[in-house]
Amino acid sequence: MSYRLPEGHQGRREAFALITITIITEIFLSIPQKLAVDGKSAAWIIILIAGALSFVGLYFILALSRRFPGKTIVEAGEEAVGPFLGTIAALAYFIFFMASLILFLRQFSETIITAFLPQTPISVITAGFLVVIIYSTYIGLEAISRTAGLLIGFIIGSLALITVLLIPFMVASYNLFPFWGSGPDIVARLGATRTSLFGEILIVGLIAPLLSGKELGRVGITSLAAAIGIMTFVEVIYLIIFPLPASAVFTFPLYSGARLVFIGRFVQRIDAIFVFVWIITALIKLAATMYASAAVLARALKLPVFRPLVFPLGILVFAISFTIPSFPDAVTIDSRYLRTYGWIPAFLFPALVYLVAVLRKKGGRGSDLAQSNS
Amino acid sequence: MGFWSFLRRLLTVDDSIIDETFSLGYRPLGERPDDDQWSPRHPDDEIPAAQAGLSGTSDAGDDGGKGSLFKKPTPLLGAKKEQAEQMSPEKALQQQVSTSLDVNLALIKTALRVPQNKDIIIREFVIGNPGVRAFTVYLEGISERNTVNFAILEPLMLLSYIEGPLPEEKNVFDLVKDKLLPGNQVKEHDKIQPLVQATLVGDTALFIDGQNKGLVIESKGWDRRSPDKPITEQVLRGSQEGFVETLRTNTTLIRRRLRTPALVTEIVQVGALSKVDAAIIYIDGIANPKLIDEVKRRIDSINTDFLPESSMLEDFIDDFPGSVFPGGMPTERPDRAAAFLAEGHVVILVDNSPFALILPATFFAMMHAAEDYYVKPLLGTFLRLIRAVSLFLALLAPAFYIAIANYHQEMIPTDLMLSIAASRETVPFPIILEVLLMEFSFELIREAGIRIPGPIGPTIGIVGALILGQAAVQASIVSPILVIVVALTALSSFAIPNLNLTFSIRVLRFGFILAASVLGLYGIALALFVLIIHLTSLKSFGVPYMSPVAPHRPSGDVITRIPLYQARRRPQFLRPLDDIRQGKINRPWDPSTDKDKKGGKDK
Repeated sequence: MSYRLPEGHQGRREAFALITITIITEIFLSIPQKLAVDGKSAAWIIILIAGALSFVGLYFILALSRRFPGKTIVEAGEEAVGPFLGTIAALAYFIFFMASLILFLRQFSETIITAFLPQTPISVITAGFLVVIIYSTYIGLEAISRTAGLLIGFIIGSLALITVLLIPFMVASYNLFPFWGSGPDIVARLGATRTSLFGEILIVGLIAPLLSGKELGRVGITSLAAAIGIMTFVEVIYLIIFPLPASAVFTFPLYSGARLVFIGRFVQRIDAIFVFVWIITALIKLAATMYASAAVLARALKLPVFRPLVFPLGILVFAISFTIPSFPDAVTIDSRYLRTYGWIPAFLFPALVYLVAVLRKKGGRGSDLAQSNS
Repeated sequence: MGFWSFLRRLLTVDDSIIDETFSLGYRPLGERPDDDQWSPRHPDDEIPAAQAGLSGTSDAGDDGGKGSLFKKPTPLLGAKKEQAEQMSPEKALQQQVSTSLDVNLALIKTALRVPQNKDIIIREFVIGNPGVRAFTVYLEGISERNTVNFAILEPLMLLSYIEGPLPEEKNVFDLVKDKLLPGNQVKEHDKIQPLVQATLVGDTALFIDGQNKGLVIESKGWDRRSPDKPITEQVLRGSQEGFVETLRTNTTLIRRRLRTPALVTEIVQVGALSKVDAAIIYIDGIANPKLIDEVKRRIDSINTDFLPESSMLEDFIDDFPGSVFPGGMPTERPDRAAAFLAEGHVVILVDNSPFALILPATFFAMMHAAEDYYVKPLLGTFLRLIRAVSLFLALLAPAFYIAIANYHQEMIPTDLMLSIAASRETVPFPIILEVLLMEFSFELIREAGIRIPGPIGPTIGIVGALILGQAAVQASIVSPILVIVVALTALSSFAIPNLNLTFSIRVLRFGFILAASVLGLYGIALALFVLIIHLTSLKSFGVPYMSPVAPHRPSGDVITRIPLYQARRRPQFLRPLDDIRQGKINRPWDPSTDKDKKGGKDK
């Protein structure tokens, strides 16, 4: 039985933009600060190590998709390890995406309050986000990824612009030393767990049926590489601008950077412009994770459509995001749980599924033929 | 009214108002057929019911009852004529042409509602020497008088003598058709309907006594506008010709620019009440056949009574009637239509409409103007950049003003903020009301400016814009900075070349104003995202609306305008059959011509 949710076309460039944006949006939140706390001046090395290790995870996702062509990781998992374990893996993916969505939504809503609308209740902000995300997810993945493809230039451009505008503040390149920060062993261990930062690469496994195997590999590798590059770059800039004690206290590191910009009397408070771009970036990420959650759930439940799930999931996200008592709690949960153990659903499960598939000789060319006969 | 008659009115009961009521009345219940089964009907179409009356055939000796025992009595000619006179017009249209001229005359008169209908001219005369009676039918005003006089009546009445005595009756028709009618298009029909239909478009119908066929001679000619400057898409440099209301003139304007046998003009008729000609134009071998078929399929499926304009055709065939964005690109410029045809688009022309419809529509093509290509590439790029900025200003300027003045005052430099605050100090309204007031009055000026009769239009513009604006500022109803913002917005919206797109942006602006007044910049960002998602989800005739940017297709013709010699390929989102536009090296004499770079860029 093979059914496909109607998800439209997917171009290579659009998929690349979608995945890259979904991953890098994390740096708008407190992740650079958390890394600075943990890794000290070597925080950027953590990202590099984590990124390098993520490629191993990506390899298994891609291998799984190639072994079961025309199927997403959910269906591939069910075929490889059986319906029961396969559904457990799918639920793990679902929980990962939902957690990412909820925590990001909560934290970013708080950012909006800080940056834009200090007197607005958070529920209004979150509801505004959710209405737009639900609308976008209803429209579908095709439009979301095309929007990502359309806007990625602006997003990277805004990061480049802020870098250029911050050049006057990059005076202390010695902030990057001592090179190993809190010590090579700690940095390496953190690097291993922080692969969770790149967990959203799992989307590659969801759009697999829409791209050919070769294209998928290219998309996965380039987008992961681009995301690692951008995140490392931002972390380095952050560390250079804010010396260590300072860099460990900012809640919204990138926003704090944007607030610094001062060129003459006219260009002094342009952070709002950047936050404007970041809101749109965040919306792409939120819509993508919302889509991923709904699509994984729909496929795990063998529903022919995912759209009826979107609205209930939206309500669920809204409710859960307010069960977190406070903003610092959200930051802590994000850093201590999601971005520490996120690699288990995102990378370990696909790898295990793939290995089981190889051991049980499921998938590949043989089973494909068998399936087309049955 | 005098006092006494007033008193009398008070003292009398007058219910004459009830007597004078006039009403068109209501259709009795049950007469109207079910909505699902209803299809628009030409008033003259045959009513599908068993009908008695004249048998369809014309010969008096022929009848339908071949197998029956009793022969139906053949009506005499006089009786037939009488029957034709009393027949309903729709039935008359269905009849065959009779051998009797009198019956034909009666049928034509019935079908065309003569004598009430004064446009119809019926001229009876005699052909040739022994003399065969004949008559012509044509319409005053849309048939050309000279053609009728000198190419139809003169040869038949006078020159027929040159042929000598007329041959026997059955050969008269061929003689007339082959030797006596110098018209360039002559067709024969044996039913009343096509003959009548032909007279309605300006041709002349000829009936000859004893012949059961009629002739249609081309004699179209009416007062028409000659190609004039386009009104909505003017250029400084470039062709100054615009489409007109005559379909044939318009097809000529395109064909004159594209002299290739591959340019195909298919004509279909749309509408049951008035069969309006619509031309589907494409270049065979370039335009994607699937696109052509889809356009034809959608136009063929139109089931309506009357189609006066190409914009109404757009209503019937576009992909997203619920969206504010136009589903087809209207243009008034034949050069632009020809350029799009050469890229693989399909163009639709509707008779009586000076706007061609280019399909499929894409957003960026609507942001381009013909002039971009008529100036040097760098300057064309500059024009497009200005237009891109103007698009954002037209859409977002008032919204940004509201957001910044209401929520994010810290964004503006202190001096500017102070001056805004000072100018707003005397204004009693909240900012959102002020903006809505100004935007509304601007829309009012624009709408009134179009509707007001010509000579006073500009006056109203000046009164509205200058005096009203000035007075409003002096009366402290609006702040001067807001007047600047609104004026800038208005100017920017006029910089968008496509009229329909301008309209969409105008409407969307109010949405952004609302979003900004509720949630500030955050609201604008949300609204912008929704707009972009909406735009990227649209498809016009299978082509994504935001092509070639999302989805990305390599093209140097979006915001930039690359030199034409580098534009080697046709737009790939159209999937043309032949996507190579020109050779790789177009400037072989140019020492800077880099063979590898050429074509490589858009490969």
